[in-house]
Amino acid sequence: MEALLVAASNVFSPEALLVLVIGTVVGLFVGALPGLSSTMGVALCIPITFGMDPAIALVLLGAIYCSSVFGGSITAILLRTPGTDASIATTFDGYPMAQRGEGTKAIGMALVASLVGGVFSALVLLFVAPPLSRLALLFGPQEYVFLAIFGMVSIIGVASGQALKGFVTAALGLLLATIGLDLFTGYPRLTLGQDELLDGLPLLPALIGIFSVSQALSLCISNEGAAADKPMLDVKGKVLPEWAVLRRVARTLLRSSVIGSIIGILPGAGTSVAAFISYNEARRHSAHPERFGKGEIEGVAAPEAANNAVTGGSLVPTLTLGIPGNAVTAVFVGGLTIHGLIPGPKLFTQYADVTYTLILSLILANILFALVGLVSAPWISRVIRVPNAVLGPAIIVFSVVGSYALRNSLFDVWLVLGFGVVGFFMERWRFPGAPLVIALVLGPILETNFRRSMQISGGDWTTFFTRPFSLLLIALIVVSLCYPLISRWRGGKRLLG
Amino acid sequence: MNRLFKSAAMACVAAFGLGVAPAMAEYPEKPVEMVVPYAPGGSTDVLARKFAQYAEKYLGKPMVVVNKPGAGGQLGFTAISTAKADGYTIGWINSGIITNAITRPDVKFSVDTYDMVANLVTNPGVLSVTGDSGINTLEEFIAAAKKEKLTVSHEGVGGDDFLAVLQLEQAAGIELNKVAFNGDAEAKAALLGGHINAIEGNVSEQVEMASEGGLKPLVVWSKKTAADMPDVPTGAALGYNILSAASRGIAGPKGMEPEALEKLREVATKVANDPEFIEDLKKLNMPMDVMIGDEYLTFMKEQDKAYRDLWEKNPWM
Repeated sequence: MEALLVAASNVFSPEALLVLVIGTVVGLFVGALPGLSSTMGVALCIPITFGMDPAIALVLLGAIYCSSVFGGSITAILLRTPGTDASIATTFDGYPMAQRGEGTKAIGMALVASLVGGVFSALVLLFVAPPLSRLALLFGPQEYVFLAIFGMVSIIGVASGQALKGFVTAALGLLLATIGLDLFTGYPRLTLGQDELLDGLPLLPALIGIFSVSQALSLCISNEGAAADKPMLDVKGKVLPEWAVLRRVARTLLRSSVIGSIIGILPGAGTSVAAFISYNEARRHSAHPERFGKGEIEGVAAPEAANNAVTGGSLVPTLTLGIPGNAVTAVFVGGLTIHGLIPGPKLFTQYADVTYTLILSLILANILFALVGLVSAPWISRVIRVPNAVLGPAIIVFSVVGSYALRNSLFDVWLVLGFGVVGFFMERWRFPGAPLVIALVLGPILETNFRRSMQISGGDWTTFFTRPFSLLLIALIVVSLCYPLISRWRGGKRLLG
Repeated sequence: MNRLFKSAAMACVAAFGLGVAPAMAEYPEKPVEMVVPYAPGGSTDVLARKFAQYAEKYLGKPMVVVNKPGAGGQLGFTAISTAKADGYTIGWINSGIITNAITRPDVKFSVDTYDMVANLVTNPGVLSVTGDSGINTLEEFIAAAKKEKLTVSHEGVGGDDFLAVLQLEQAAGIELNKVAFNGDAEAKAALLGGHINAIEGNVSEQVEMASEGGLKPLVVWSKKTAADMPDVPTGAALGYNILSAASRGIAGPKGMEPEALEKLREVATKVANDPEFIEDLKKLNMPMDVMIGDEYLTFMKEQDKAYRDLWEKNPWM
């Protein structure tokens, strides 16, 4: 308790507040620009923290981490350009909302959801981190297999109405996910002799190509036709969702926050997995699942709460065990050790004041980016009133620069343009792009953990069905798949047709 | 007027000549680009940025870190070895320049395509089990492995930790179940969760967990005992002549301008002896192991030979 008071006085010092503001603004930009990931944002700021007091340094890193996850959502909603993979799922309903002129409302929902998710997970970190960290250890490769499958169930949702085409693009995504050096044999697969592909198909160029560049190409082409109805598209609505909407999505927010916090704790999962699963769960529990993918506000709330809940969750094993929950927190560990703070149980006893400073600053950062978002949303969302002839090329330029910046590699620029053209034709011929991207993200998790499990068990299949946590996950998957049938049955309708 | 102009022009020329001529001869005239073959935030990147920060003081020009990640470092290794040898592009290399050149003879780098500047850090390999496994020594581990098949993590076939496990199998006459993990975080979680029996990694990744008792390191694969793990025996002390380490050093393309190479080696020596730099690396948990110029080349050549011999006897892919 005393440590908490020390932490509070740390956070509310003028210096810390200033750093917090700077970190939040930097984080928003890092998140919004497609070439800068949360990991890079935190990594590039670590040298700046060398001379700082440890507590202040952590405030800066924490603020960048939290707000960069939110920053990606703004561009995901308005331009269908997810700044990081964390906001892929946000494009599903956020962009259709923006096209209807409800961009302000979508951003409003996103910021409320991010705030709830972020604060929820920070409180989890504050109060129950040590016991929860055991969860990270209970999950073995077998459990990650089912977690990836659980995430893939969401493909069914995003492909609804186009089951066969969705299946085809998902299969393509899984195939693309196998590109690269095989960790288990050392042989390159499907790299076509390109060394740039040895690490696998880089995710962000593929993502930006399929979602953003394809969209930008459509914007450029549809210009004449759309010119007439363009002025009609006004930016309407208040930023914050109405009370009725909030009450409707309250359960979704809570559920997604829990999912995000739990998945954040698992070192082998990832932010986008949390977003996919909670998107799917929100759709499953909704009274109107058919509205998802067409601009349903709940479809923005779910992934946004989840991806920000990952921030606190991923710090649980990082701070308690010294096992980083994801790439960003791995960088965090570097930042901590520079300041002589060794991740481990001592962070919650001996150095509790510094740890609590970090956690409090996470909460403050969440509030702060929500405020920044609240003030700026009505202005930023006017971007959709920019003529298509300007917006389209601008998105392409951003995408090209961003994809180059990721690895300083021209190869990735060709990749982004190639995927843009592929995405454009997929959209024309009504092949949904989301299943491809989901499969591309989850494929490597599924494959490596499947092979790892088989190798550990010595080729024994039963290893997947004899562990309590994998059984629990199997049950969740079955329920998730059968739920539509069950609800039909309970509603007295026919099971099929 | 004319005369005045002339003398003014002369003065200008003189000033120009005085100001520029010595600078022409002296390296560096502009910032030096330092390629990091990994993404920002990785340990090589952190080390490079720290080094660059101190090097500017001794070099007189900034060192600019450029991240060229990809292919497990191979894109960066290629970029360094194929850069113009004018001393303005150098970068960080490690044993990956050796192992990849063995398994993929078509790559544009090997131990012979670089001019070595200096090795800065060597992070020895270490094999660990959990603190409560009941196994306390390498001998006990080998005995246990003869009874039942034990599972050991590594970070990809062909990497230095994989090769250490391979060499141990050969030397001890045991067979281990070698499972690849994406990095030390996942492997440590799997070990502590009881999903695997042992992990092969590097000292700095394990030293904290070992000091808290979660991990029990059995052997360090270095010539000298590791400063961070003074109680852990070396392989040689236990009768296993296996050397494995993640070493990080600076090199440039082969055939660099002699004065540039000389200056860079001098700068590296000065940075490596800077007390503040030493203090910073200590905080970062990076065991310093300074080898300048030819000493570094000899070290790399030795490693090259050891891995080539291993490949002859037991090609791993």
